[in-house]
Amino acid sequence: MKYNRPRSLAQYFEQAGAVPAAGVTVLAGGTDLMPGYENGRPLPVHLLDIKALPELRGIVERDHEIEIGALTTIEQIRANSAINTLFTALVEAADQFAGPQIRHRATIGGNLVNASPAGDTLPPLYAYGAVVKITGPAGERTVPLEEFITGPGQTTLAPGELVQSVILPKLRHRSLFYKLGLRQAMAIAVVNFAITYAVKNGAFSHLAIAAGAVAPKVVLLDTLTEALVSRGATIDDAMHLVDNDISPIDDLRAPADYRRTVLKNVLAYTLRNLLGGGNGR
Amino acid sequence: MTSTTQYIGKPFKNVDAEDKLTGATKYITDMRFDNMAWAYPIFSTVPFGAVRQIDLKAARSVPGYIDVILAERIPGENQVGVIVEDQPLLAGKTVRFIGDVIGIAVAETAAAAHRIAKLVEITYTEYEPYFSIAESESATSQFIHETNIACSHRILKGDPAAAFRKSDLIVEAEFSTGSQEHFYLEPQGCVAFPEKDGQIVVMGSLQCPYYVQKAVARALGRPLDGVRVIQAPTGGAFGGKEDVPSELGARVALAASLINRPVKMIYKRSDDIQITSKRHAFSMRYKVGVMRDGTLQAAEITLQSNAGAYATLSSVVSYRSTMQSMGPYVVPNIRVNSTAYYTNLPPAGAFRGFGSPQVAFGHERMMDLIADRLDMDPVRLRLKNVLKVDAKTITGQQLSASVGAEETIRQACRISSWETNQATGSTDGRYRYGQGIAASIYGNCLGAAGWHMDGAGVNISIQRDGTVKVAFGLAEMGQGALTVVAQMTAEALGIDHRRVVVLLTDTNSVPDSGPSVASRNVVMTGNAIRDAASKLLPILKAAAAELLGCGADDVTIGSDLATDSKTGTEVGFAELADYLYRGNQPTEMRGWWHVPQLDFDPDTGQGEAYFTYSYATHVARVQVDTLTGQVQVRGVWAAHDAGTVINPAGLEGQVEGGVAQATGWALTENILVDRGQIITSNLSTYLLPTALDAPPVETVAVEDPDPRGPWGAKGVGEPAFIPAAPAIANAISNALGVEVYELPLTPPKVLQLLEEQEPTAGMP
Ligand SMILES: Cc1cc2nc3c(=O)[nH]c(=O)nc-3n(C[C@H](O)[C@H](O)[C@H](O)COP(=O)(O)OP(=O)(O)OC[C@H]3O[C@@H](n4cnc5c(N)ncnc54)[C@H](O)[C@@H]3O)c2cc1C
Repeated sequence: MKYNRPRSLAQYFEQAGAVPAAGVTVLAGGTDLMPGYENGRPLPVHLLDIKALPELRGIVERDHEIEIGALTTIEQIRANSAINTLFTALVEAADQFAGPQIRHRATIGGNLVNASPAGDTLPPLYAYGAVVKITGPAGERTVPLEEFITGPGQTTLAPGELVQSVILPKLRHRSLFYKLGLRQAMAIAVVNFAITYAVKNGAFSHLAIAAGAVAPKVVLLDTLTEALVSRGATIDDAMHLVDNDISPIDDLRAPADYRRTVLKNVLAYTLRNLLGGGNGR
Repeated sequence: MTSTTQYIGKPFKNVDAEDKLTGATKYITDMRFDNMAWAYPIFSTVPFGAVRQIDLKAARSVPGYIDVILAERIPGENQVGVIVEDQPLLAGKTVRFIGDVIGIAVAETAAAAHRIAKLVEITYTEYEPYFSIAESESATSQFIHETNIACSHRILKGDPAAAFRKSDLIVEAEFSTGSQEHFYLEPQGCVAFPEKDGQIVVMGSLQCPYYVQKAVARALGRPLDGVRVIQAPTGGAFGGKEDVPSELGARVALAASLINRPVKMIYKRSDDIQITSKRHAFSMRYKVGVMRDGTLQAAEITLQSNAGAYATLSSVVSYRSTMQSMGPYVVPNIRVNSTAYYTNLPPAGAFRGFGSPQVAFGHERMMDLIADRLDMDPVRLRLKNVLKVDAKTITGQQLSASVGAEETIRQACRISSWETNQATGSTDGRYRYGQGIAASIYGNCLGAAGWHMDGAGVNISIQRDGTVKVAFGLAEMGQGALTVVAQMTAEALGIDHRRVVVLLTDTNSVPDSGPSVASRNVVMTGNAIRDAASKLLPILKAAAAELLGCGADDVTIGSDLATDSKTGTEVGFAELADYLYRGNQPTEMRGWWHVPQLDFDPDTGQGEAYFTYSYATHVARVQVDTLTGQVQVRGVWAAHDAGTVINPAGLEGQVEGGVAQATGWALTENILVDRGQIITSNLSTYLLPTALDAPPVETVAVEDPDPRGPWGAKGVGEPAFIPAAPAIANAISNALGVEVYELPLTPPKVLQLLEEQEPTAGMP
């Protein structure tokens, strides 16, 4: 296995272009890759460590958006004041992500490209309508996150391309995040969700819910939110609509039924609290 | 007790803690030897079958290949069974679980050894495997060994049938508890190297050096003298390094002697989990008869345990669970039958508590069920029946002293403010809160079943500069053995504890002292230290008398000085040591202690099961999330009667660790197996409690000294674990108003309990 640590995007493209694209793997924090190798996943021909690419770093605030470099660590997200002001759900997701050691290494870019149905930054990013900025030998392109992730571990990233950043349109609404793991920390989500919302006269004037670990990829619970916002349904009546948008499976962490029940239990409780004025931020 | 002692009862920081925390300690993985090769086990990938063919072609082509060793090259006996001779060192014909070791791959690097082990192609004729107790029990042919029963034990006392007839109330229930992986921080590892004189030296992460010595000598066909075992600093064991290191040690020693080079073997974590022994899963049936006032009259108990593929320590685990099956209570009429069944799972062996935590779940759930049916306070029910001095245990053993059981119940209630607490819920109904109590008993040391090896030794040597070297036969594995040995030696000789250097355990320096298990180090080594000191003190006094010009009877030794009690003149210990040497006096003494002979009849299970018992009571408080079934243990209040406490800091550490480990067993640690393959074989799927899951613990020591213990001490390492899980389960039951019958109580299971009880639960 060959290992390189390019210092600029130009150098990266040069080194990545020198071998057939299928043989290249990029390494960011390594918190997904390294356990994979330890568990027997074959090593790549060429490992390109992207941690020293300046183009993938930094958090930039503009008038209408915030751009978060792909190499931003979960800990940097937790500590960033602009993100703290505007994107509560993302900060809460960072708070509940793994433990301190992993948070200092794991990157948001890695979380996106890993595309786990349980990835904790994903529900907030879906709920915020995030856009992924991709850079490649042929130039830059942007894709809405929903289209970027196509299945578990699958994205539309072409060989040689990198995620450069993720862009969040500035939100006028409040947001929150919920995660259930089977212990208090260092647990993969059995259910997680993010909500963006606005309440007017005791009803939701805006509501978006993105739920993870209940389908092959993060899903927006549009059937439910549509009923609650546009059709004025009550939470109790509408809750069963969640089933239209999710398709959980049994795995060694939890049975499908458990995921379904817990998602509905906690979602109903949370939404009720939001309307009651309590709990939400 | 503590008022007259200088070190006993004073808190001491573990002497090896700083090196371990800073990374200075060298473990097996850090040790390198010239010309060292690496070994890795080649193990079965089917749960039950016959080995038909072994093809080494692909394996031999791996760069760095040295050897693949199969059963026929074992020069001695192909046998590593600790108690029952049912386990081959290398399975030649039959494999009985996924992980049964068939051969040893030897290579120049660890990676090459792994690769060779993977590439050895083995074809099998598979048999229908048995995984559950029920499957094993109902087998009629194709048994795992000669039969599917690994062992059985029984108790019969009084006339249970008649006593049930007289009882006002009979309560029956069935319980089950899960297995548990030790998850010691340091995986299993050993290194062996042949010495020029023909001796083979094995160093390992282990807790029973003499077991390893015997196993290696047996496999290599050598006298014990040809094998030396040195215990390397050991990163946790919890019983998991009682049986297994005999296998590793014998395998590396075999490889080292065949290739005549040092050979090291360290298990990868996922293989360690698949191959090595664990806690026995239990199924239990309890039937208890009681009078209206709460007096226990009769009990009938059936214990079934899943022994896995080999017996290893099942017979003594089953013995202990049988003897302790009704906890710290008086039950005049009782019948207990306990059976361990072979299955095609990894062997079940020793794990902190050794069969006690399982039965503690049974008897403590029973006590709560009975209290509920009698509408009686669960604490009152326990106090009514608890063992006291002069009472008889279920084995008919009359207890003569050091029975602090009742006091542990009272103290646990006091420090937890038990009486002022009640089950409640949060105002919005989401969370429910409850508390639970559980009491337990633990027979110290090996008991009647292991009396023949329940002796232990030390070798204390005063050096010319006044430092004192202590060699002992039991092992430090994180529990603080080195620290208490230093404390007890300083106390016994009346010297400054900083003079004492405790050596890591080496079979060359102390006679076979049995296994470092059963919470026996303080009791065994402490008494052996006192024995050695009783031989050294007269020599010291005589020398001091000469130096001080007084009679030996006038000399008192203490505070690092020898003093003429008449004149008050003193001589320091260092000067005294030097004087001993100048006078050519003996400066080294051995100490030995064995457990008093026990009178026990295995046919009726009546007699002295253990020479003394430790007691403990824990109170736990929980918060249950009715939306998710998640349980948070908000606190545990622990009262322990371990006799006189030698090191209060050590006791506290043991209790906190035991409670954390038991919290995992109770709530999150769930071994999932798919046709014999463990699928929760890493830290992301096998959920140990994190610092946020482990509850805060408040500990109080109930010091009821045992006249046979050193300074009155008893063991606490295992008792620390035993009552915590049943206390948590009782608290969950109290919070939710539902009965619980199984462990672990994972969130899906707790939610199911709620749903069974009230279909709308969780939808406030
Ligand atoms: C102990 C532990 C706990 C964890 N807990 C959590 C948790 O609570 N929640 C959670 O969501 N995840 C968790 N994870 C998973 C992991 O930490 C995250 O998915 C993390 O965000 C991955 O980022 P990374 O930088 O480490 O990725 P890496 O391992 O470096 O890479 C992951 C994948 O993304 C690719 N990649 C990385 N960056 C880029 C880029 N800029 N462009 C293109 N491809 C890229 C890599 O090639 C690889 O395929 C945990 C992992 C561990 C080991």
